Amino acid sequence: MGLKTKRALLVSGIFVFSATFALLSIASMAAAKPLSPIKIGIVQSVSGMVSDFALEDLEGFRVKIDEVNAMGGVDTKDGKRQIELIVRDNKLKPDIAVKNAKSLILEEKVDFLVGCISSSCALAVSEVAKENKTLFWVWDARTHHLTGARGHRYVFRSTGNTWMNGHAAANYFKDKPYTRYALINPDYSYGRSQYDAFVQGMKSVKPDFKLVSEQWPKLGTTDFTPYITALLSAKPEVVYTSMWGTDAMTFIKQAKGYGFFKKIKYVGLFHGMPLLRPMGQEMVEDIYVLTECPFVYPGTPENKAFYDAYKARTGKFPSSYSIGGYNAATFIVAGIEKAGTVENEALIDALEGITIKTIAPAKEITIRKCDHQSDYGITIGKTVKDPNWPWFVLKDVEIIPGAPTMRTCDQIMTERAAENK
Amino acid sequence: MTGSEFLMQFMSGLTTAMIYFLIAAGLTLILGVLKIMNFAQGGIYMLGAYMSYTFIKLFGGTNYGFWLTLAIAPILVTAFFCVVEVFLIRRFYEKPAIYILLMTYGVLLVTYDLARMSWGWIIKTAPMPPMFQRPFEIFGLFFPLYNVFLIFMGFFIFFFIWFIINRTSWGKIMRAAADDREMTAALGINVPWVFTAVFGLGAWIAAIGGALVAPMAGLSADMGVEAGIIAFIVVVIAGLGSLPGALLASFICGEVQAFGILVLPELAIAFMYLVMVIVLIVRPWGLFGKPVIIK
Repeated sequence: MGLKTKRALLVSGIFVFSATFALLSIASMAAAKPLSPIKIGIVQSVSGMVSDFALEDLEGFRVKIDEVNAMGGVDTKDGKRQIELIVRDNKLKPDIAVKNAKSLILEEKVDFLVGCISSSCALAVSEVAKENKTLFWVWDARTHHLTGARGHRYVFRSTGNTWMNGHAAANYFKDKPYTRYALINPDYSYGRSQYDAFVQGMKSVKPDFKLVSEQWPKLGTTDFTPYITALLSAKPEVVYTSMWGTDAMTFIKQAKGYGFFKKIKYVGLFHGMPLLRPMGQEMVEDIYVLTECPFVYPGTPENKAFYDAYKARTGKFPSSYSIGGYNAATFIVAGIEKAGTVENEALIDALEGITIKTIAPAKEITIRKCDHQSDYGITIGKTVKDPNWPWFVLKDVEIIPGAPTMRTCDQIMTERAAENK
Repeated sequence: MTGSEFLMQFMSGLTTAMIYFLIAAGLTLILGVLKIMNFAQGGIYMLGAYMSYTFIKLFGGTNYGFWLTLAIAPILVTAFFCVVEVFLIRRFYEKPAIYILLMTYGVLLVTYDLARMSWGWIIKTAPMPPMFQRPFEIFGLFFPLYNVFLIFMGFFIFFFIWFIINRTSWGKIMRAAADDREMTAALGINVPWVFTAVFGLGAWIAAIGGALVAPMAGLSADMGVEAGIIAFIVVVIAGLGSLPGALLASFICGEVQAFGILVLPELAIAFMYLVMVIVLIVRPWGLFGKPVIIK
């Protein structure tokens, strides 16, 4: 191609482009001047070890935002505004998360931040939010410090936390006849806090609680047989665990061969869809599963609408992660509509104490004013084979209310005062 | 602790030991003959597991499908890594050791992404073959049949490799090539191909280790990293390049782990390292290694 033709192409290209642009501008001027979209910055680990879960919760969040955008946007004082999402990947590293959060606030000028699947990410970004007086909404990271000792005006969480999980499980077993308990948890900060929460919870509600064995396998253990036989020898009635991912899967597969689940009641925290789906028919019946939203439950029209929308969008079934994302977006939209603005101080005031209806089993959830922690309840059910699905589902599902498992506002404030001393 | 509980715990330790051995044996073989530290070993193990997952599923989780998988999957993985050896790793045998470390570590990272791209991030597990879905009874105790099979396979592979190295002419060539490359080459033996074969054998052990673990564990791309660390510790305890040493070291680590958690569960993640530290203090060259004399 000669130089001249190239130049001619370029010139005509520029001409076509400018003409289109001019026409578009005229067209848009003719219509009412559209409001600029609301920008939400998302700090999330969309690559790395937990990216699957992170993507699931992001999709859940997007389903709600799409719903709102399809209706013309969210109502503010100035009129309807569309919502735009800007995603930054932090590869599960808190330092990258901090960098991303800063660049989203300062360069992209987002209105506020959401995201973080890991606790280390959430705690780090929370500090950035505090410095920049920017709202930061979390739903996946579970450390209770986020809204506890290290909480502040700019951070919110719409799911439960480690403290509430352990105490919820304890409340469930309060009136059950079992007294001999054993725990097996992965040996890192998450497993340690889940251990503390459960043991403290049990001690406070069940005086005859007896801890007969505790095991601390490494995260990513390939062989659980010594742990399984050690637990069996201790003869507990209930084994409680916060293992997840391959650990939970490997443990269940290996314990099955020992007839473990016939002798012992196994209670798995967050053993919902992220575990039930990959395990398929290899799962065991009558395992107790704690999950924030069991699969195919409770089958309300809103619930079904969400499942269908999510399926249409991703081709997959949603998990409790996706529902967490959907609920978070519902909260944010409700808050903006209540405040009529995205100006952060007014928005925070509007979000404090706000209640939404959810598609999760906990019909309503409220953000507590004093610490910005939601009272999201958890459900417990038993695994059962279902001919309709290629994986196990839950039966006898009970809701354990979230509010009674929360620490009081006074406790939180004392903790915060001690932390800031 | 009753006698039967003791026996159960001992058998558990033996299962752990066999998994450790299967992970480490390939590394020790490659280290002994090729004198290189193959960081990719964990990745081979992981790919072996994933490949078996695919084949076991393909054959519908049947018994004969499982046997076929054990025959096919590790061979495929081995073939892939033999190609890697010929085109990449072979070039670095004569170079300073750091090159080979970087090279094999690079291969490990590639296998990691390869697994991610081919099988995705969602954790996987292969169905347990129907014939193993019943317990094995010994002195009135029930023990999963698959674990018994795994222990048997561990010993079988040990004797198989030991036999090849010590009782066949092929093994003789391998040992000769390990001792003196130039002399062996001068006798008309194609040393690079001997090395490829040894590398392949080492890869096959890791791959079959992965294949054997596939029905009893959850699979994720990062299982290879963990396996690599285990293999390294076992080899250090054993003495670099010693196969019987690797078996003994695995046995010690497995049993210390199994009985250690009964006494001090809090230290579960540390037992293996403790064994290594003690061995390094008492016998820095490992259980079966020879002291290195620096001239």
